[in-house]
Amino acid sequence: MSVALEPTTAHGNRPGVPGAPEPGKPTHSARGTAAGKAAAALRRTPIGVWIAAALLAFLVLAAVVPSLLLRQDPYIIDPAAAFTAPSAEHWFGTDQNGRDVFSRVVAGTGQSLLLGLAATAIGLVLGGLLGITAGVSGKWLDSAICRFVEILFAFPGLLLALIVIAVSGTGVVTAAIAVGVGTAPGYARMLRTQTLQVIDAPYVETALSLGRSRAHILWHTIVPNVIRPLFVLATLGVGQAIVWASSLSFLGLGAQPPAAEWGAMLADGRNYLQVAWWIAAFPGIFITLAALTTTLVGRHLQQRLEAEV
Amino acid sequence: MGSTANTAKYDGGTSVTEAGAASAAATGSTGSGKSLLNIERLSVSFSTPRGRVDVVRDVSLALAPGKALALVGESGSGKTVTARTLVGLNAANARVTADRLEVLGRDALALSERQWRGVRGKEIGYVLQDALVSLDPLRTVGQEIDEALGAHGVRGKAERLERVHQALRDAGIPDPEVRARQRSGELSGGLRQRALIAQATVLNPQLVIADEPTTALDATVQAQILELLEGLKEQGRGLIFISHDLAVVGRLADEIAVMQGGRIVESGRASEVLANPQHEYTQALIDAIPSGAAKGTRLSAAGRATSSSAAVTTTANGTPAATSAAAPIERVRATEFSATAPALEARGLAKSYPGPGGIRRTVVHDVSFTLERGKTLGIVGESGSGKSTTARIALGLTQPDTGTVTLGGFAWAGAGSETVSEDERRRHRPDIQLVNQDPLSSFDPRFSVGKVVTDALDAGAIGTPRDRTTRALDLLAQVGLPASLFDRRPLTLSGGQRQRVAIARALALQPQVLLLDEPVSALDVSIQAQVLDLLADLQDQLGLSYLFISHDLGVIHHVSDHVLVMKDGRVVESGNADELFANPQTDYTRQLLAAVPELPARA
Repeated sequence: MSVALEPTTAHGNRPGVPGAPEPGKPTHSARGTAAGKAAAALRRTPIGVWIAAALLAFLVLAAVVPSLLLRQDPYIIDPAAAFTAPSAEHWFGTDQNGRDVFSRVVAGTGQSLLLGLAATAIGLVLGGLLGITAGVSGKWLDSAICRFVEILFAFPGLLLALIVIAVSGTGVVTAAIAVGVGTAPGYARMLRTQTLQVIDAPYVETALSLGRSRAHILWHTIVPNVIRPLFVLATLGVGQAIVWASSLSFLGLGAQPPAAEWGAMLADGRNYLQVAWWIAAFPGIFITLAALTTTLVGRHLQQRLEAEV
Repeated sequence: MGSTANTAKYDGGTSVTEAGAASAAATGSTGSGKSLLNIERLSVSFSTPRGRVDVVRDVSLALAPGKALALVGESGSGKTVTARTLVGLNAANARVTADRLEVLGRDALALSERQWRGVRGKEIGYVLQDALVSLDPLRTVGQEIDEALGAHGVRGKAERLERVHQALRDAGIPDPEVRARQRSGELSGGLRQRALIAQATVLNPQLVIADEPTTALDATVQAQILELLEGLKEQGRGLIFISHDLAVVGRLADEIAVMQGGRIVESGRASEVLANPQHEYTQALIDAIPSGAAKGTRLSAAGRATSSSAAVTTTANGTPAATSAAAPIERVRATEFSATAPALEARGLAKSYPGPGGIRRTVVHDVSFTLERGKTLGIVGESGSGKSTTARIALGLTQPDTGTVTLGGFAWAGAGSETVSEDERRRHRPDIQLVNQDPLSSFDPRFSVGKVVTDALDAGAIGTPRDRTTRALDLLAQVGLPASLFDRRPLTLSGGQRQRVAIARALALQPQVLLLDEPVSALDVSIQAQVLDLLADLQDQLGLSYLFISHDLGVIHHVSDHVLVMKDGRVVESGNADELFANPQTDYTRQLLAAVPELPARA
C-alpha cells in the first residue's frame, strides 16, 4: 500500500517540500493507485481465505445451478441400493431409501443458503428499524426500544426462533422469519451504537451547517454511513443463520422430510449412524463448511474495510 | 497551577543536581568529556513489498554531555527513525548501516536485542512522541515508572517507591505521592508529559531522547516543559530532541541538525543556524513561522516568489468568477446579507453544562465580540478556555444560555424569547461556514474529494449536476489543488491537501463568514505557512470575514485584525491585534506572550 512507501512517521502526513507548491504531487494518478492498491490487497489475501472463497463459490454454484452437479435425481428411491457406502458411483454413499447422498446434499445447498440469506436479511431489517430509530430519536423512545431489545436479549436466540414457530407453525418460510427474529436483537444493538457514533461525527454537523434539512441528513448522511459497515457484518451473520436454520430443520420445525435440506437430512441420518455414518456425516460437514466459509470470507472483508477506514 | 509553582519545585530540587552529578561521577568510566554520541554516515532503509525505501541517508551526528541536539524537519524527514535507531527500536524490516554508530561509547550496530534492553531506560531515556496516548490508561503513573526500575533490577519495594516519587518530583509534578496513584486519564496534558519524562529519567540515563516533547501542549505548559528539559541538560545529561517548531528549538538546543528527505541539509551551532541559515530549506522553515513581525507578509516560499501563489488566481476585481471563464452560478440567497451590519456580532453569550455533583459548570461567561466585514477576529486561549464552545454558539450548533448572535444583521442565535429555530436559521446557514482542525473527520467517509465539494454545491442548490462538477474543479483550483485529485479519497491526501479541500467546500456556498477553528494546528510549519497564505489571498479576493480560533499566539498575531484573549470562559482582553501584542494590559496576556519561545534575530 502507498502508506508503506512513505517514510515512516507517527502521523500520516506526507513529507512536504516547502518552496514547491505542496499539493498535487504528480507521482501517481488517482486511478493508478486505486488499481495498484486492489492488486496489492489481492496479493496479501491469506491462502485460507482463498480456499474458503473457492469452497463458497462451489456452494453458490450448487445453489444456483444444481443441475450442473447433480449425479442423479435426489428424490428417486431405490431400495436395492440402500445403505451403499461411499464409492465411485455414489460419492457420499446412499441413504436408507437408496437415494444418492451427494445429490441430496447438492440439492439442499440452495435451500440452506437461501434460508441463511433470507434470515439474515430479515434480522437486519428488523434490527435496523429498531436500532436506527432508537439511535436517532433519543429520549424516551430510545429507552423504550432499548428495554424491549434487552428483554429479547434475555432469551437465547434459538428460543426466540422457537417461540415464533410455536406461534405460526412449521415450514421453511417460518423458519427464515424465526431465525431472523432471533438474530434481530443483536443487530438492533449494533446499529444503535453505530448510529450514535455517526450522529456525533463532524461530517453530520458539516451537513447541517451547509444548510441541509434534518430529513436529508438522516437519509443521505446518517443512514448510509450506519449501514455501510453492516453489509460485511451481515456476511458473518449468514453462517450463523445457516446453522440455526439447519438446527430448526433438524428438530423437524423447518424444512420437512423428504425435502433435501441439510438439517432435515442430518435428522434423518442420525438413526443409522452406527450402520451408515455417511448419511448424517456429509450433510453435517456441509453445514459446517457453509458456516465456516461465509464466516472466514466475511471476517476477511471486515478486516479489509477496517483497514481502509 | 502556574509557572511559579514550577519554579518553586526547581528551587527545592537541589538534590536533583546532586543526583545528576553523582551519576555522572559514577559513570565516569565512559569518560565525562567524551562524546555521548558519535555517528558517521548512518543510513536506515526499510524493505517493503514495493522495494527498498531509504528513510535516513548518510547522517552524521555528535553530542557532548550537557548539550542539547535538536533534530529539525518536517513529518517524514527521518528524524524519528534516526532517534529510534539510537535506542535500537526500529521495525524488523529496517536495515541500519553506518561507518560508525557509537552510542555512549558502545558500537550500537553490534548490540544484541538483549544488550539493548540493558541500555534502554538505564543509559538512554526515550520520551515517546504524543504524551497524550503514550501512557497505559489502565495503569497508574507510579506503576508505569516502577516498571522501568523493575526491568533494570532495582529491588526493594520501599526503595522503588521512593525513587518513583523522587522522579515525579524532579519532573516538577506537585504531590507526587498522590499523582503516582493516578492513571493517565486523570492527568492534564502537561502532567502526562512530565510523567513520561519522569519515566525516562528515573534511572538517571546519561542521554535523554525526546520526540516532539512539546507538541500539542498549550504555550504556558510548553514553556514549563522546556524549562524541565533545560534542567536535565544542566545536570550534565545529553539531550536529543525532535521538533518541527523552530522557536522551541531556538530556546533549548545547542546544536541543530536540519533534516530533509532523510538527509541532514544543514547543521551547526543553534544560534548560528537560526540567525544565519545557509540552506534554503532552513531559511524556508524559519520564514514560515508566523509571528507579528511577519504580519501581512507571505509565509511560504512559493507565496513570496510571486506576489500570489501560482495556484491562486487573483484578478483586479478579485471576484471568484475570475478563476473560470464562466461566471459561477449565484446561490439564491434567502435575504441579502446586510451591507452595513457587522458580519458577526455576539452579545453577552453564556453557556453552562451540568457537571458532577449536580453543580453546573459554566464554560462561557458573558462573551461579546464584533467581527467587522472583511476583517479577521482572532480568538486565542489555552485548552479549556471556552473558545470552542464560543465557536459552536457562533455557528448556531450550540444553544446559548443567555446572549444573542447576529449574522450580517440577522438574528442568528439567542436565548429565551430570542431563541432562533433551526428552520429559521437554515436559510442563512450558507453564509457562515466552518473549517476545523481535523478536516478528514468533517468529510463523509463515503465521499471522494470531488464529491465533498459537489455535495456542498448541491446543498445550496447551485446549478445543475454538470455545472457543479465544473464549479467544483474551479473551487479546487482556487485553493491550489490540481484537478487530478477530483476522484481521490480524502484519506489518501496529505494534511495540507485535506485542509485545502475543506476550505474549497467551505467556499462552495459563497459564504460571508468563515469560522476557522484551529485550521493549521495539525500541520507542519511550512504547510501551515501555505495554508495561512491561501486564507489571506481568499480574504482579499472574496472579502470574507474570518473568525479565527487558535491556541498559537504567533498564528493569531499573524492573521488577526482584532484579538480576543480568553481564559476560563471569560474574555480577558480584547483589542486591535498590534496594540494588544505590543502592549498587553493584563497579566494573563503578558504571561501567554512570555511563554512563546522566540527565535534570535536574523542576521
